[in-house]
Amino acid sequence: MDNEELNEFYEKMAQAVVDGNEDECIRLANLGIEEQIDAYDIIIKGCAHGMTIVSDLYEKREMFVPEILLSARAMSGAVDILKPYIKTDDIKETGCVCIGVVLGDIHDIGKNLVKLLLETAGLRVIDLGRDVPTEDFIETVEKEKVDIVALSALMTTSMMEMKETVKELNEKYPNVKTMVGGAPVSKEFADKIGADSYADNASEAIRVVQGLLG
Amino acid sequence: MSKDEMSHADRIKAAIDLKEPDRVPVFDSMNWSVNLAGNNINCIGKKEKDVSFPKWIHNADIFADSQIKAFEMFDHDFVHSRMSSHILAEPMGCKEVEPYWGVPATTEPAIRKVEDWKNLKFPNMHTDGKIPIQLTALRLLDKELHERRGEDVFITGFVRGPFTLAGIVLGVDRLMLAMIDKPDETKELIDFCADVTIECIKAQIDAGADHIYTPDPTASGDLISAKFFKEFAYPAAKKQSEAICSYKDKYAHHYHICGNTQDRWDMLEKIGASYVSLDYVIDIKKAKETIGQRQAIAGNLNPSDSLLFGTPDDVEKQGKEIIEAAAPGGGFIFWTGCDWAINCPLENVKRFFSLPKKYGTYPIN
Repeated sequence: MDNEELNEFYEKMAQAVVDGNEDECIRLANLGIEEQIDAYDIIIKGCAHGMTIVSDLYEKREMFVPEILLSARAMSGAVDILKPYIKTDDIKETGCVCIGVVLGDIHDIGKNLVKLLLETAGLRVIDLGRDVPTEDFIETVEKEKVDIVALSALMTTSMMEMKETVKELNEKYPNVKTMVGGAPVSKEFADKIGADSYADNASEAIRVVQGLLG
Repeated sequence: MSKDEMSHADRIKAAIDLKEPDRVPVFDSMNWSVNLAGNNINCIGKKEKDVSFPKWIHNADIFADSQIKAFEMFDHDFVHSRMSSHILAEPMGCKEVEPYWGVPATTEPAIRKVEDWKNLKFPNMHTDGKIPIQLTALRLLDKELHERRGEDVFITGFVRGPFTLAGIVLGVDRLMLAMIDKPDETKELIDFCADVTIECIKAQIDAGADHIYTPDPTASGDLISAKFFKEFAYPAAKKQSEAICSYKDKYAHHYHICGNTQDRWDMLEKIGASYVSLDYVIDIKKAKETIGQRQAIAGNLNPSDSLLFGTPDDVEKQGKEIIEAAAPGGGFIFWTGCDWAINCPLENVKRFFSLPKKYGTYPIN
């Protein structure tokens, strides 16, 4: 394939992700392997690019959570096929993010999307799940080489926990960056509790992470 | 400050009838009242409490007593009775945890495939989970407030909106995909959930509830499109509302929805609720000028920025703006725009409940 054809191929993959068309994603992934296109490039320039478009469309209220989850599922269909073909020296792990939903909150759809996007962008992600106590974040930072801790909350009632976790991380590990997100969380709130960064949505989260990693 | 001229119920009913009462009515203190149980008032800000949350919700007498104290302290027009985030989830087969200081939360759904809704248990309202405790609390509140004191304050019963309950029993992410993959079975599940809530509603009205609060956060404008709302959430919410109003009366239903919902206000209006409470993210003035012309609305103070993390003056500034934007002409009930944290400072909560008297006495310019 020449460059133009390659770009067309990536575009098709991105569109299949946007459409949530799992069959098409799988077909394209197999075709890519057959044509010996670099698997890592297909994921980054095709799949992840598609998810970024999805995230932008959510911001514009043109797509909602059911459609996003459909896209995520379609993308996973392609990634599962492509993963074994990624050459190890392709994986440039640019940083490590520890992510989780704070204590008292079990809403993890948003967190899972951010995780998916971070992974496809080539980052190492340690997912602590939902309803995560401060101690678990601290313990992970202690044991692993974590650059950023990303905290999510959906309920206004669990924002207090977010504040506590950020406070403790800042005290014990001032070099580890913190970022927060979730429906009730705002930039002002993030500033108030001393978090390093705030992201309004999943695609912004990727830009924020890349910014924090400098 | 002038003395209130109307009784609580008359005030609420006037607002629901889109008239101007003596002053703006105000919704209740919900689960925050746990701070008034036992000696908890002296434990605000501390980790150890006199009455833990589980103790509060497993003892109807302690629970009812604290709600009455809240009513005495804040003089709100409603009194709350909610025992859990989702009173029906556990009886339907979900796993629920009860934190020491927090509202019980569902950790495991009851089913993993939407078509398995047929295996869901239809709870017995008098024996299952925490429903009987909630019913006992309602009876205690009814006896003390209505019978003994002759107060007509509205006692609030609680269930989830059917769409939200479906998200709890199936798992929200699965419900989201099920609407696309298996729309017919998804509608059956939601309709089943509506039927379960209706039985629970009837039991609560029988026990003394004057009205039923049905938050439907999963139908949020941040989660599903207006198209999906119309197809999946709306028919069940309407069915639930009709059941409440025909079993009790036209004043008996408070529907709450989260998120930016402006694209579905026309449908919210058609649900038939007595009043609809809207999230703090929406422009309450715009809501008043549109849906608020035909439907009583409630809202929408930011429960985190001001009530939890702000000062009493922040609460007052924001509350005043909301009352001035939405109260003129009547048809408005003052409240927060979403559930609020039990750790909100007492002084903020006090200020919140003082605002309808200070700024909401009619006529309002």
